[in-house]
Amino acid sequence: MGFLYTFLGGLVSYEGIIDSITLWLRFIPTVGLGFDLIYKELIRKEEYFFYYNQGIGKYQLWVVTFIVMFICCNLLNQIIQLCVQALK
Amino acid sequence: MCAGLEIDSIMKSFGDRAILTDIYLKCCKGDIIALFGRNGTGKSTLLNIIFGSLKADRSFIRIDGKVMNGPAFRSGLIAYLPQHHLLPSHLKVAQIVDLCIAPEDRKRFLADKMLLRLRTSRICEISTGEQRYLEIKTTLFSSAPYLLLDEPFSGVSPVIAEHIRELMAESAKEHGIILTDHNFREVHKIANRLTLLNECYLKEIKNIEELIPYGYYQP
Repeated sequence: MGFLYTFLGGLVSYEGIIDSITLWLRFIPTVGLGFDLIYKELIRKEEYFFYYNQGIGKYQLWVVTFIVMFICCNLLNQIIQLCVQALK
Repeated sequence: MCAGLEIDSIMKSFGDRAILTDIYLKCCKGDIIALFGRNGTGKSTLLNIIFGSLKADRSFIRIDGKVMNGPAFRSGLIAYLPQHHLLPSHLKVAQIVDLCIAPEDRKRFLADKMLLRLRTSRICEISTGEQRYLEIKTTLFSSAPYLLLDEPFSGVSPVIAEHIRELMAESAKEHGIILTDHNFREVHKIANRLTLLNECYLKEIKNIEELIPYGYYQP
């Protein structure tokens, strides 16, 4: 969905692509992770045992995943904003 | 007297149906305890409760003298091989080895023609039997001192079953193992203790002929 939104946003204008990408980066650790959580809970629930065997609980896994994705996406967002500013 | 894995007073019901009542079991390093029982008697339920992935109505679990107040798997002292597949399908076999096997054991783990051949394959690309073998071997090489194996001989060929028995016998030198399986012939060859889950209670089997009424042993 993020890729589709970016593509559609890019069809509008050049500036639209940048806004689409930054929105997509905010989309990934929130809505995207939410959809992934629902998918894992419904379809891939048995894979949690792989993490349990390493001593990692379900909530621990999701919290750390969210924090890492949030930091990475925000960092990337900041870099893109800096590049846009530099080009202007 | 070993500290070991000790479970006591396990009780579990699903709705009005009692599954487990006052279950007591102790497993020391070097033990291979076979857990038999008909379908639906609660073998997998018991293993899930011990592991901590299922909450019991009442339970007391102690591992090496340490009381488990939360899920036992959080302590890193117990590993579980469930009946279903558990490896993430997008990972490669080599990645699974790097994540699950201690560096000093990796060479010994991969001294295996089948796994060496599959090393660069993803889990979704290998067969069900190969995946099961990898899961069993990964669990047996776990650093956790106590292992729970739910039907490890299910879905594997007789040749692989023979190899798994050898691995279990080797692994039991450093681990305590509790396993369930309907394949009595395979399990009987390696287990040093037999238990039977019947009508909510767990019973230690002293004489193999006690299993005749349950269809596990034919004289």
